[in-house]
Amino acid sequence: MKYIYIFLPVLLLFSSCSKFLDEYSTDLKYVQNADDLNKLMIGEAFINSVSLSAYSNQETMGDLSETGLTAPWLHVMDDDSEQFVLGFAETDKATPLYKLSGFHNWGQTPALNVLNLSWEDILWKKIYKRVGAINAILFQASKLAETSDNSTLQHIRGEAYFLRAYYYFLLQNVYGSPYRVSSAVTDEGVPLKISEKVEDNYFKRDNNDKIYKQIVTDLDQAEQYLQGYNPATKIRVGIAAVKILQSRVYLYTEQYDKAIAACKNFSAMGYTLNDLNVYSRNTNFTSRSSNESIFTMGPNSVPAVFINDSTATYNGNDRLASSFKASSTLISSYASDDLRLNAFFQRSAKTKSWLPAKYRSWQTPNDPEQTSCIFSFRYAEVILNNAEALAMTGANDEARNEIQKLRINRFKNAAMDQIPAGNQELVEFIRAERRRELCFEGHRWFDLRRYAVNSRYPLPQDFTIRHPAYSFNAQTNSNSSIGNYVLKSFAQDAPAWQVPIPNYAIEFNRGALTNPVRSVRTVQPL
Amino acid sequence: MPSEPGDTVTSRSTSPFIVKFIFIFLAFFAIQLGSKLRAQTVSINLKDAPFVQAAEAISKQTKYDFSYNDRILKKAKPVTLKLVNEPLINALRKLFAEQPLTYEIKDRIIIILDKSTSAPSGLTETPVEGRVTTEEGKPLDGATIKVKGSNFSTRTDENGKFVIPTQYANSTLEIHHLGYAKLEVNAIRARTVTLELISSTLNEVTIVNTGYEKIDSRKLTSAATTLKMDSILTPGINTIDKLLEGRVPGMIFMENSGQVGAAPRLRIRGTSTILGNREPLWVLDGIVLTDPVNVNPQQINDLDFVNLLGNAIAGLNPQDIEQIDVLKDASATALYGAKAGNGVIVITTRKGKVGRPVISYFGTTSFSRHPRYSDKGMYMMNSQERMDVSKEMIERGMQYNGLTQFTGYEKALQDYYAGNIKYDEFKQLTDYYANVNTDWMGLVTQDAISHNHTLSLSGGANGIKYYSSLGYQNENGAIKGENNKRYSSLMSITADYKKFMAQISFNGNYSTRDYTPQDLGVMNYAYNTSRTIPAYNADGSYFFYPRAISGAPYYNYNILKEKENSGDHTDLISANIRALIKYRVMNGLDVDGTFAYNASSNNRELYYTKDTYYINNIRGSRDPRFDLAPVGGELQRTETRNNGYTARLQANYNTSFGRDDKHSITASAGMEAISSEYNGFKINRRGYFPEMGGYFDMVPTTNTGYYQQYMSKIEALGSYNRQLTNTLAWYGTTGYSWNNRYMVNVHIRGEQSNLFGSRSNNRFLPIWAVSGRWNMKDDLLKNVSWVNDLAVKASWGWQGNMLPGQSANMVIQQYPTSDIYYNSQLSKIVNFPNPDLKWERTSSSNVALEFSLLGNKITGSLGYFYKRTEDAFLDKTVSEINGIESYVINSGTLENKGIEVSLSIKAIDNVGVSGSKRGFVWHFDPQLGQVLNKVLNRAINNRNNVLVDNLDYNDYLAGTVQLAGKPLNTFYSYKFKGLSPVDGSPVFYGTEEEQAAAYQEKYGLMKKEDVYLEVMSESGRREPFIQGGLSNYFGWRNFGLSFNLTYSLGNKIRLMKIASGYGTAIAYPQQNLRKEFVDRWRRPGDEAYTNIPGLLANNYLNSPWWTQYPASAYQFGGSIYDMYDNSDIRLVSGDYLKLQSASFRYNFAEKLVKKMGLSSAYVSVTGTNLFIISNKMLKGQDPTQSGSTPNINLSLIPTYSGSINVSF
Repeated sequence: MKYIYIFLPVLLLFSSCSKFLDEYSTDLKYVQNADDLNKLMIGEAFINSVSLSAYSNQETMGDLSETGLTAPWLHVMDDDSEQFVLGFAETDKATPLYKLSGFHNWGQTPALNVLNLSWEDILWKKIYKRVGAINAILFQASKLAETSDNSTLQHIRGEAYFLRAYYYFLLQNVYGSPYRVSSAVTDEGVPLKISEKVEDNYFKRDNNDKIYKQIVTDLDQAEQYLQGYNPATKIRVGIAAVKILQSRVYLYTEQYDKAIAACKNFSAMGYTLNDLNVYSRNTNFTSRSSNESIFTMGPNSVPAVFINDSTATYNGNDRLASSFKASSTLISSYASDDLRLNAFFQRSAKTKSWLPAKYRSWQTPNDPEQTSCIFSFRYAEVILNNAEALAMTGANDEARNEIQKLRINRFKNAAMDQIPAGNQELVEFIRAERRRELCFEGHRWFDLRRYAVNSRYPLPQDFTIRHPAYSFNAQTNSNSSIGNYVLKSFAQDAPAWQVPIPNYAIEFNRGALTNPVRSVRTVQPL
Repeated sequence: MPSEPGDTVTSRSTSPFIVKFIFIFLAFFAIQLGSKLRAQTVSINLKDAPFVQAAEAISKQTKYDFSYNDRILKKAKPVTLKLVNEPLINALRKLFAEQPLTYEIKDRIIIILDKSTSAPSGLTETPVEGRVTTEEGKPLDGATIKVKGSNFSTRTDENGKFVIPTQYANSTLEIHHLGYAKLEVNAIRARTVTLELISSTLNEVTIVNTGYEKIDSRKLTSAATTLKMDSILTPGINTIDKLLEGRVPGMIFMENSGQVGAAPRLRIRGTSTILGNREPLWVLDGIVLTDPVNVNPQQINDLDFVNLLGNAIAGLNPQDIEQIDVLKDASATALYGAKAGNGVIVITTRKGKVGRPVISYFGTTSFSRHPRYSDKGMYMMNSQERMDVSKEMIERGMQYNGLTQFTGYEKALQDYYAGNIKYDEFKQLTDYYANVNTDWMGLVTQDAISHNHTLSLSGGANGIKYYSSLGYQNENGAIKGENNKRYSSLMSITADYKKFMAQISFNGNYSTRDYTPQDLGVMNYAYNTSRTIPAYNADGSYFFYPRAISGAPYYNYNILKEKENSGDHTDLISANIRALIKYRVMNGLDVDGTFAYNASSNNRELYYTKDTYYINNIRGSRDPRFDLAPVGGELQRTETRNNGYTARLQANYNTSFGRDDKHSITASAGMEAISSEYNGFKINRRGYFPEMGGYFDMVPTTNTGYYQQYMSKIEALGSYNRQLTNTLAWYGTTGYSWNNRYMVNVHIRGEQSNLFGSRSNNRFLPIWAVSGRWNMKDDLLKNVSWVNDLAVKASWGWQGNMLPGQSANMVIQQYPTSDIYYNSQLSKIVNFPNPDLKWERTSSSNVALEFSLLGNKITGSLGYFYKRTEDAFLDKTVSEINGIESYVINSGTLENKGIEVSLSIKAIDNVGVSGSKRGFVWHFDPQLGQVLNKVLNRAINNRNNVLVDNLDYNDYLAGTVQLAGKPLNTFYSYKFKGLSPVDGSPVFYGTEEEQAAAYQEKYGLMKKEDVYLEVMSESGRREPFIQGGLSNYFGWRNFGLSFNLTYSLGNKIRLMKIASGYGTAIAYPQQNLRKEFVDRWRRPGDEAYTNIPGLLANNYLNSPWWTQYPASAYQFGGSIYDMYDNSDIRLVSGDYLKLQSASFRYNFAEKLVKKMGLSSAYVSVTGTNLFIISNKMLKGQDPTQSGSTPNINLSLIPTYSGSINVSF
C-alpha cells in the first residue's frame, strides 16, 4: 500500500483549503463593522447630490430619474410660485413649465407633460428605496451592536432613525392626507414598512396616526443615539437636526408643548441667526458655513426650476422663459424695509421678474457651500416653530419675544409694536412671517396643508390658490393671460391637497393602494 | 427521396413528418441491401484475363471479398472462363482449378493461399511475417499483435509489417488498433495474407472521452455524440464551434453575424435556466476552459448580441484536434458538477502515433465575396428611385422635422428656389444626383482573401509519442479593415514505460482582431445612406455632408473618413500547459495526477482621433466650460488577464471475476481543485494622438468642463477589477457489467467554491446520476442475421445551479470612487438578504436505442430526452415600497424534451478488392435533433397569486416574456389591418384611431398584460426547435466529394426594419430607403394594392393615442412605424435548408506520391455557406439576420477555399 504516499502531497495541497475556499470578492462583502454601515449610509441613505452646471437653455427637467433632481415640483404647488413665460419654447422640450405644469395646476394626473405624455414621478420610489436601505442598515446595526458597540455605530443608528423619520414625514406630507388630530386614526397616510425583510405582498395605506407615531418613535430613538452629538459637518446628522425635526413634527400634530420643549438649547449648541443688516449683495444667504445651517443633503433645485429669461445668446435662448418665478402675492408681502427681498431673490435679466436665490454659488462644481432647497434645516425654523407653538398655547408674550428675535435680523428696523397682541392675529402674523422666511425651502405647501386642517385656526372656507395661465400668440410673439387654475379650500377640493401616489405603485398593488380622485381642473377665465 | 431534400425542409414539415421520412428512407435501404445479399450466383465470360479481374467480378456479384497477398498473386495465371449463373462454390472451384493457388472462405472473405506452401506443418521453422492495412489498403502502423494465451505481443512498423517468432506459428493472433475493429486470426494465415482492419463505426470501438474517463462506446450508458475531427474538418471554417453545425443532434446552432471571429451560439438540449448562463462548457484534454473575457450571462443570452469578444476555444486550431465529444445528459456531465448544466464539449488533441516521424502541411486559401447592392438580400433603392421619393415629398409639401442641413438633390432644389443657382445648373445637378449611385456597399466591404497554414510533426518510438504543430491563420473580413489573425501552437509528448505513463502538453496562441468601432454602424450606414450622395468629389477628395451635433451647427461627415480615424483592436495571447502522470500500482489499479495551468492576456484598444464625429459630438459648442474632449481623440483600453490552474488526483480500479470473468467492476474516484482568476484594468483617456505611435497631449487647465465633468468619472480615472473563483470537488463513478451485456453506472460529484454569497444558501448538494445499458443482441436477436447489434440505454440524474452573489445575508458592494459630496467612500446594497433561495435543480432523463443493421451498413441511434428544471431562478418584481423592485426567487418550472436521431448509412460501398483502386462509395449520415422547450409554471404570472411581474410591451415584442405553457423566447406581433386611406399610415387591429375612445374605455379596465395580448398575436419562437444535418460522402477512385446540408426549423423572424430604427419612413436627404418603398402608398386608393405604408406625412404619427395619457398606463406600442415593423405582415418563418459546406477532394495516386517522396497528398476545393433555401418572403434576407436586432448584422457570406495537404 505504498501508493498511499502519493496522496500525501495532495493532502498537503488541500490542507490549505480553508483559505482556498474563503469567499472572495474585490468589491462585494458582508457588513462587518460600523465603517461598512457608514459607507452604506453615504451610498444608500441620503438624497443624492446632483451637480448643476450653467444652464444654456430652458431644458432643465430632462433628468428626473433616480440620479437626477429630487422632486423639483414640490416648489410649484403652493402660492409662492407662478408661471414664468416669455417667448415660445418648442413643446417637446423638457422645460420646467412643460414638464411640471401638471403639478403646478393640481392636475388629475400631475406627472404629464404639456403634450399629455406621462412621465414617471420618481420621488415615491426614491424615498422608499432609501427607507428600504435604512431598514436594512438598522437591522445590521442592531446585530453588530450585540458584539461590538461604539460611538460611531451609535451615531449611525441615530442618523438612520432620524432619516427614516424624516423620509416618512416627507412621504406623508406629499402623498398622505393632512394630519387632523380628530381623525388621524382613520385618515389615510402612506404605507409603512419598517422591517428589513423583502415582503411579497400588496401594500396599502396606513393611517396618519400610525405613521406619525412611528415618526415620533424613530425620532426618540435618534435622540437617544445622538444625545449630545453635533458633527463638525452640516451634511451629517446630529442632535440639533433631531430636535428641529421633532419640533416640526409636534407642530404638525398640534402637540405644542412637546414642540416648545424640542426648541430648547439651540443657542447653547452655537446656532445664531444671520443679521441681514450686514448682508453683502449677491452672496449666498444660505450656505453650509452659515451659523443658521443645521443639516442639509442633496442638491438645490431652485436654479433649475426658476430659470432666468436669458440663458445663452448664442443659441437663441435669449428672451425666452418657460419656467417659474416667485408669485406676485409673495413678493408683495415683503415690507419695504424687509431686507429679505434682496437677500432671498434676484431679478431676471430681461423682464426683471423675481426669482428665488437664497443659494447662489450653484455653478461652482461640488461647491462646499451647497445647501439643499428642500432637504435642509436651519435655525430660523426653530424660532418660527417655537413662536408658533407658543402662540398656539396662548403664551402670546413669549411668542412675540421669540418672533422678534428673527425680525431684528431681517428688517432694517424691527419694532416690537408691529407684532399684533391678539392671539389669532399673532398666529396669523407668525404664519405670514414663516411664509416670507422659509419660502422655497419646501415648507409652504406643507404648511398650507396643516393650516387648512388646523383644529384651532384653520384656513378660511373661501381660501384659494390661483395660478395664472397664459396662451402664446405667434403673431405678436407674446403670451397673454387667459385666466387661472384654481385650487379651492381643503373642504371643497381635498384630493388636490395631496399628490396622487404614482401610477406604477397603484398598478403594481392591484387595488390595495388607492388615491382619492382629483377633479379635472381647467382654466377659470378671468 | 434524398435527391430533393429541399422540398422536405421548405414545406414547413413538422417533426412526425421528418421521422416518417427517415423510416421510409431506412426501409428503402433495407430492401436494397437485402436484395444484394441474396445474389449468390456468378456469371463471367473472360478470355486470357488477369486473375485479379476475375476475382473482382466475382466479388462484385457476390459481395464476397477477396483477400490475398501480392506475392502470391504473382504466381497466378491468366484466366479463361465462362460461367452463367453458377453458384459461388462451383464458380470458385472452376476458377482455381487451373491455378497454383487454393482458397478458403471465412466470414464472407475468400482468402487466397499458395497451394505449394499451404501445408502448415512444414512451416514451423520460420518466423511469421505479416502485414496489416486499412480497408483502403494503406499500411497501419502501431497495431498491437498479441499472441492469444501467451504474454508475447508486438507492434507493426510504419509499413504495417510485423514478425512473430516461430514458436507461435500455430497460435491465434489478436490484432488490435485504436479506432479499428479487433481481429482474431490464425498465425498461419497471417503469414501469407494481408490483414485488413476495418475502421470502427459508431457501434464498434469508438472511444468516447468524457475528460475524466475513456469509454468504449459499446459500454457507454450516457448520451454523447463523438465526432472525429477528420470527418468534419472543413477548410474555410476556422473555429471548432462552427464545425459542429448540423453534426450534433440535440444541439441548436445559431449564428447571427457573418463578421470575422463572431462566435455562434450553441444550445445543447434546450434552455434549462432563465437567469443563468446557457452556453455549454468547453473542456480541452480534461481541463475546463475559461473565456478570455468575462461577459455576464444576461448579455450572452441575449439573442441579438453579436459576440466578437471570442470564446474559450477561439484560439484553438481545428487541425490540432483529434476528436470532439459532446456530452449531453446528466450522466455524462455529472462529473463536471454545477457548471455543466448546459452540456459539455470535450476536445481531444492529436497525440502522435508510434512510427517514423510524419511531417504534414495543410494550407488553405479562402475567398469570400462581399455583399453587393445587386444581391437579392440587399433590396435597397438606387439613386433614381430615391430621388423619386424626394420629389414626392416636395410635391406633397411634406416637411422635415427640425432639419437644418440639406444635402444632394434637396440642397440643389433649395438653392434653386432661393435663386442661388440657375435652372441649367439645377438640371445638371439633378441629373448628376440621379446617376451617382454611390456604391456604399463596395466602399465599406471587400472581397476578402484569407489564409490558413498548419505544419505538424508527429511520430513515436518505443514507449514515446509526440505531436507538435504550428498554425497561422489570417482571416480578412468582408467589412474593410476587419481582420482576425491567429498563431497557434500545440506540443504534446506521451511516454508509456512499464508502470508509468506521462504526458506533457503545451498549447499556446496569439491572436489579433481588428474591427471598426460598433457605434460607427458601418453596415447600417452602407444600407441606409442615400446613393444620391457621392463618397468622393470630382477631384478625388472626400465628399462631406453635414450631420447635426448638439450645441454646434453641424459636422462634415463621411463614413470613410470616420473609418480611417477610428479603430478597435484586440490582442489575445494565451497559453495552456498540462502534465499528466499515471502510475500503475497493480493489475487493475492505477492512480493518475493531472496539473494544468493556463494564462491569457486580452488587450482591447478602441480609439477615435480628433477628426471623428464621436469626438466632435462630445465637444459640442467647444466652450471650455462644456468641451469634454478639447485636445486630441480618445483611447479606450481594456485589459483582461486570466490565469488559473487545475489539479486533479484520480484513482481508477477495474477488475473482473466470476466464471469466464463475466462480472466486471470499474470504479474511479478523485479530487480536484480548480482556480481561475480574472484581473482587469480599464481606462479611457482623452487627448490621444495616434500618430507617432500614439501619445497623449496635455489638456490646458482652462478647460474646466473637461476636468470637472469628464476627468472625475471612473472610466477616465481607470479601474481595476479582480475575480477569483476557486472550486474544490470530489467525485466518484462506479460501474458494474455482466458479460458486457448488462451495465449500470453511478456518477456523483460534490463541490464547494469560494463564490461570494453562495455559501449560505448553498447547503451542500451533490450532483449525481445513474445510468444503464443493455446490449440486447445476444439476449433477444441472437439469430436475426440482419441485426448486428442492438442496445438500449437509459440515464437519470440531477444537476444543480446556483446564482452568484445571492445570499442569506445582505451583500454590499464597495465603490471604487469616493462620493465627492461626502468626500468619503461609499457602498451600495447589491443584494438584500435572500434566505429562501435554493438551488435551481434540473432532472434529466435520457433513453436511447442504438442499432447496427444489415452487416453494419446502417448504424445509428434513436434517443429521447426529458429535462425538467424546477425552482428556476426568476427575477420577480416586488413592490417598490420594499426599497427594491426586483428580487430573485425560485419559482419557474421549465421543461425541455426532444428526439434525437443519428444515422450512419453506407449506402453504396464498393471499396474494391485490391484496396488500391476504390470503387464507388456513398456514405450518408443524416442527423436530426428536436428540442421542445416550455415554461410549465410561472407562479409570478398567475393571476390568483400574489406575485406579479411588471412587463412592458417590448418584452412581448422581443420574446423576453416568460408565459406559462409557452416556450421561452416566444414573441408577439401587432395585427396589421391595412393602410389608412388618408395618409397611407399603417393601421392595426385593436388600435384604430377613430375608435380610440372606445378602446380606452375597454383597455382601461383590463390588466396590462391582457391589453398586450389583445392588440398582439403570438408569432412563434425565436429559437428553432429542430435542427440537423445531412452529411454525404461520395468516393470513387482517388476522388472524394462530401457535402453537408444543414436544416433548421421552427423559428420565426422579423423582416428587416423598413420604417423604424435603422429603417425610416421619413426620408431625410441622406437616408436611403428599402426598395419595398418603391411600391409604397402614394395617394388615396393605393391602400387597395399595397401594404407598404406611405412616407411619414406628419410628426403626430410618432405620438399616437396610446402613448398619451391615460392610455400611457397600458401603453402597448411606440410609433405606428415601430409597430409596422413589429407587425405580423413583417413576420416570416426562419426555416432554412443550407448547403453548409461542399468539398471536392483528390488524393494523389500512391505511385506519384511515393515518387515525390511523400507519404500522402491531396488537394481539395471547398465552399461554405454556398446556398440557402428559405422562405420566399425573405427576399434574400439571410435567416440569420432578423429585424429584431437594433443594428443590421452582416449576413453569412459564402467562402470558397482551395487547400492542399501533404505528408512526408
